[in-house]
Amino acid sequence: MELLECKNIYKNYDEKQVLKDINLKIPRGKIIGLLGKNGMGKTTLIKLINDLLTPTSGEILVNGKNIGIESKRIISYLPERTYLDKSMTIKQTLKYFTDFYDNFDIKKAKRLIKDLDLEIDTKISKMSKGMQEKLQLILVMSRNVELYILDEPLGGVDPATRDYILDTILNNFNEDASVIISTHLISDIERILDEVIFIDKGKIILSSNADKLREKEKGSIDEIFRRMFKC
Amino acid sequence: MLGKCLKYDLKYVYKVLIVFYLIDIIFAIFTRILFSFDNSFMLHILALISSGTTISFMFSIIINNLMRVWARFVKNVYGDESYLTHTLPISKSTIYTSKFLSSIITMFTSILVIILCVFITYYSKENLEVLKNTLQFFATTMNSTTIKVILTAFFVMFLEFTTILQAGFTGLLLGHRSNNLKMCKSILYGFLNYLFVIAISVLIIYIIGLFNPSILALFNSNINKTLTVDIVKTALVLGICLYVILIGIYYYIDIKVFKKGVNVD
Repeated sequence: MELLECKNIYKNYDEKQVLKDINLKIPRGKIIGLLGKNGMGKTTLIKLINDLLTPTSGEILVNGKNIGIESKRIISYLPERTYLDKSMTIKQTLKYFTDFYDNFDIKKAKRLIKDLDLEIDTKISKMSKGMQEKLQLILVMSRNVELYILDEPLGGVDPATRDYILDTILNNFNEDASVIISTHLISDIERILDEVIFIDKGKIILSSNADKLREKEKGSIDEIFRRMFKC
Repeated sequence: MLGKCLKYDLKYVYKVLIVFYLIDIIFAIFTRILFSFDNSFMLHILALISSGTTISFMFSIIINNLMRVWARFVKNVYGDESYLTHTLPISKSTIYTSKFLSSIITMFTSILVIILCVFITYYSKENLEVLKNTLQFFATTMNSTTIKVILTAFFVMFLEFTTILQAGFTGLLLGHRSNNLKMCKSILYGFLNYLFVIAISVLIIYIIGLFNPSILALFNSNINKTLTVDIVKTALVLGICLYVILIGIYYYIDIKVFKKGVNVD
């Protein structure tokens, strides 16, 4: 049974068709890059998988079951925006995650927070946007789940922070789990990808093993992407 | 999980509401102290100002309560925080029930605080006597007891505010199903829902009146001649039952709509 399967997914906003006939299978234990230019449907697809949008038609299955409480238990999602209650402190946020997620590793989270030199009693509203994003990443990666979905984790951050984010992802995800990373900054994540999915104008135009694709097209994923999406 | 959700929802609403409760209680005590100096004109003026402030804070408590529970709903279910809310391993009905219960609990405590403030500000043997006599008059007229009159008044007030809250939630759910002008549509639908509850209640009472001439008398233009205590009591009981049933139906529909899924921006 596939970890995640999307069957004939369509998503429309009134007359506008944002996703067209998306068929996708995500296996276990892989790092998958969901790659595409801005506004091509990557975030919409991720939001559908996370029950933040309802598909116009089609079916999404996680471990063979429809999206619901069970799928949310085994998916850890990092959105591109800050979703934390800014009136809370870090300590209260950790309590919140412990309350709702039985697979949240609070010790790991505290260790990673300490590495960032953050005081646990700091209010989230007092932290910089960058720090809030790092805290969010720590919370997401401190869950022991089967699927991590990271939407644009590298967007708008400096190269040093990019390294920190990639290291946090690589050092903290459960090895039997899969990771879907949506981004248009391919060169930064190319080295860690096992599989790639190219999405353009709401359609999946390519889905392949990263090494096989490099071999076949005689170039890096970044070069292939630039070639395929040349304006 | 409902308990955990409720804990966070209540925390959010009470965080600000408690400040309003405290200010109102402090002003109520202050007013009472000022009124106790009955030989000073200036202190009497100050007491009147303080009394006005206490009353305006009572209204603020209700308005703040309503706004804060709706704001929590929008932020938590459709705003940035919704990215966390909808990815928690809990059912949609738990999320909605928690919001609904937190609004009812906070409204209940707000009404209690308001009654307490009225008591602190205006309690005196004479006022209590006037109140007792008034309630006794109503109780005798209605062939009831004072306690029942107080409880009915409290319950009617509570039901009215709960209906407003529920209409607001339904409006937000329906308004956010469209792709544009979500907030404007939410306000419009909320207002229409509230009017619909009132209209449907009156309509049902009228339909019942078609089979019961004494109820139909309520719709008579010469109501003073035909109105009896029994008619008023029946209409009151009918109105309360209808409101409770309609709140239940709205709650059921809201959960059905919510379970169909959301579209977060």
